[in-house]
Amino acid sequence: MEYMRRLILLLCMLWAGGAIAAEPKILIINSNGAIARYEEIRKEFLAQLGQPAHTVDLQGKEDATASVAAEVARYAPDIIFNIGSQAHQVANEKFKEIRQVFAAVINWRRFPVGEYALGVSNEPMSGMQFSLMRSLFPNLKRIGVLFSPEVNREWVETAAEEAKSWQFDLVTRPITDPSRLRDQLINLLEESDALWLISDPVVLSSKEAVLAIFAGADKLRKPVVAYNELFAQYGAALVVSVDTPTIGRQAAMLAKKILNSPKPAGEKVVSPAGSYVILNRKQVSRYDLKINNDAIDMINRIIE
Amino acid sequence: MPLLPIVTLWSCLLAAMLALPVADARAEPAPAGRILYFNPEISIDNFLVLEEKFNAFLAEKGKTRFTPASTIATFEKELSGKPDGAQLLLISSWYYKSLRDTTRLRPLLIGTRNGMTSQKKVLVVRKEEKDPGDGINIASATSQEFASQLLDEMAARSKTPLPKRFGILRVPKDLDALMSVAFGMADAALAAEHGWRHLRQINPTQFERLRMLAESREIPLPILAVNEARADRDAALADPLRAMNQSEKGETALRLLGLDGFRPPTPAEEQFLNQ
Repeated sequence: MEYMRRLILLLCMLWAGGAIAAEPKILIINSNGAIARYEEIRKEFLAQLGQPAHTVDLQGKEDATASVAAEVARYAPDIIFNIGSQAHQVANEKFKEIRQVFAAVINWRRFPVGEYALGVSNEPMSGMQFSLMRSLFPNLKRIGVLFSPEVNREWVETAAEEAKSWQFDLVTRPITDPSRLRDQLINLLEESDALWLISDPVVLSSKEAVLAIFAGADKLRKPVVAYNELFAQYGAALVVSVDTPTIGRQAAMLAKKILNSPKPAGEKVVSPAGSYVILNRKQVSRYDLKINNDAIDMINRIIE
Repeated sequence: MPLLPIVTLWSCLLAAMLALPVADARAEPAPAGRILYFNPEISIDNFLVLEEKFNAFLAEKGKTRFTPASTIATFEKELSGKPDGAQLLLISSWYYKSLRDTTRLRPLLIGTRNGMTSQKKVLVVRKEEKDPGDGINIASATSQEFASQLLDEMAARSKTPLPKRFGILRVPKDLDALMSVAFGMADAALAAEHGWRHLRQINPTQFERLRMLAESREIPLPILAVNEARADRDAALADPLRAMNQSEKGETALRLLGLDGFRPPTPAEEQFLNQ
C-alpha cells in the first residue's frame, strides 16, 4: 500500500514537473518598482500573459549589472521583459542571446534593438493625437508646432504628412536657438488655430520655456494641445497621452509572439495602442472652442 | 533646474489638492437610493469623472447616488449585499440578459444615441490582409468575455470564416482599436459601428485602407433595470433620468456613457430583452 502511495506521489511530481517545464520562464527586470507607472505596466503584463513570472527590481540603482547577471544565470529565463530605460540598457547589452521585450524606454532609438527583441515605444504616435484632436475639436484647421530640427526634423515631416489625412495643416517653426523661442512662438501662433506641443528637449528646455509658451498662447487666446498629462497643470486645453495599462498588455502580446517565433515578422517596435485624454473645460470656454459632444465619451478626465 | 522634477512636484501638489473634494463628497449622509452601473461592453476607465458628473446631476434631483463598478466581481459583490435604500441597475443589455438567469429584472429605460436604441459591432481588418486565420490579435474596448461571445455570434452570421482562436488586446476606446489596425499594432479591431462611421468622417484616407469583415446583429444600448421584487418601491428612482438630457449636467453625464438620452423600452424591445 505504502509502495503504491509513493508511486502515485512520484507520478504526480513528474506530471507537475512536466507541466511547469512546458511553461516558458519569464523574467521581468523592472528599473524601479517604486515608480507607479512601471508597476502598472508590470501588473497588466502579468494579467494579460496569464502566467507567473519572476521579477527583479533594480530600485533605480545604477550598478545593477552584476546582480542582474547573477539572477539571469540562476533563473535561466526563456524571455526577459525590460521595464524602463535602465533595465533595457542592462539586458540589451548583456543578454543579447535571450529573447526580450521592452517597454517604457525613453527614446528607445538610443539603443540598438537586438536580433531577438521586440518593444512598445513610449511616445504617442502623431496619428493617435490627430485622431483625438479632430474628434473633439471639429473646427481646428491650422496646428502650429515648434521643433528642433536636430532632434525632430524627420518626425515632424512625417507628422505633417499624417496631419493632412486628418484635415489639418501643420504650421511648423524650427527652433535652433532657445533664446529666440518667444519671437518664433508669437509669429507661429498668429498663423495657427492651436499650438501642438511635442516631446522636444530644445523647445521644452526649462520650466521658464514651458511657462513662456503657455503665457504666449494664452495672450493670443490659442489653445495648447500636449502629449503628457503634466502639461494639464500649465493650462493645456487638451492632453492626449498614452494609456499605461495598454502598454503592459501590448508587451504581453509581443512576449507571446516572440516566444512562438524568435524572429517574428512585422515591426519590431510598435506604438502604444491606447490613449488617455484630459480636457480642460475652462480653457475650452475661454478660447470659444467648439467641442463635439458626440466624442465626450473619449475623455478620461475633465478639468472644470 | 531640470523640467521633469519640477513638473512632477507640481503634479503631486495638484493630486493632493484634487483629493480634497473627493473626501468631502464621501462625508455626505447616506443616500436614499443608488444606481449601480456596470458595462462590460465598453472599456470604461473614466470612472472618477463619470461618477462625479453623474452625481452632480443627481444631486440636483434628490439623494440618489451613482455607483460605478469596474469589474464583474465588484458589481456582483455590491449586488449581493442588502441595499441601504432603493436600488436600480444601469447595465449593458448583454449583461442584463445574462443576469436575468439569476435575478428577476424589469427594464425601465433604455439608452438612446442619435435616435437609436441599439447598435451593431463590426470586425475590421486592413484592406490588403487576406481573411485572418487563427491566432490573430484583435484590439477592442470590450471585455474578453463579451468579445468572445460576440465573435461567435458574428461567425455564425458571416459568410467569411472568422478566426476561432484569437487574443484580445483591450484598449480604452473604439477609436484606439481602429487606429491599432490602421497602424499595425493589431490584426483586427472589434468596435461599435458608429465608431467605424466616425473614422470615415474624420479620416476618409484611413477609412479606405480598412475593410469591414463581419458585423453583429443589433445590440440594445444600456438598460436601466429594477429588481422585480422591489419594483413598487424602487422604480421611482428612474424618474430624474427620463429627462436627463434636458439639463447641462445630465447631458455631460450621458455623453460620458456614449448616450444622449433614455426612454422607456417598446413592448418589442422589452420582449427581446426578456427572451
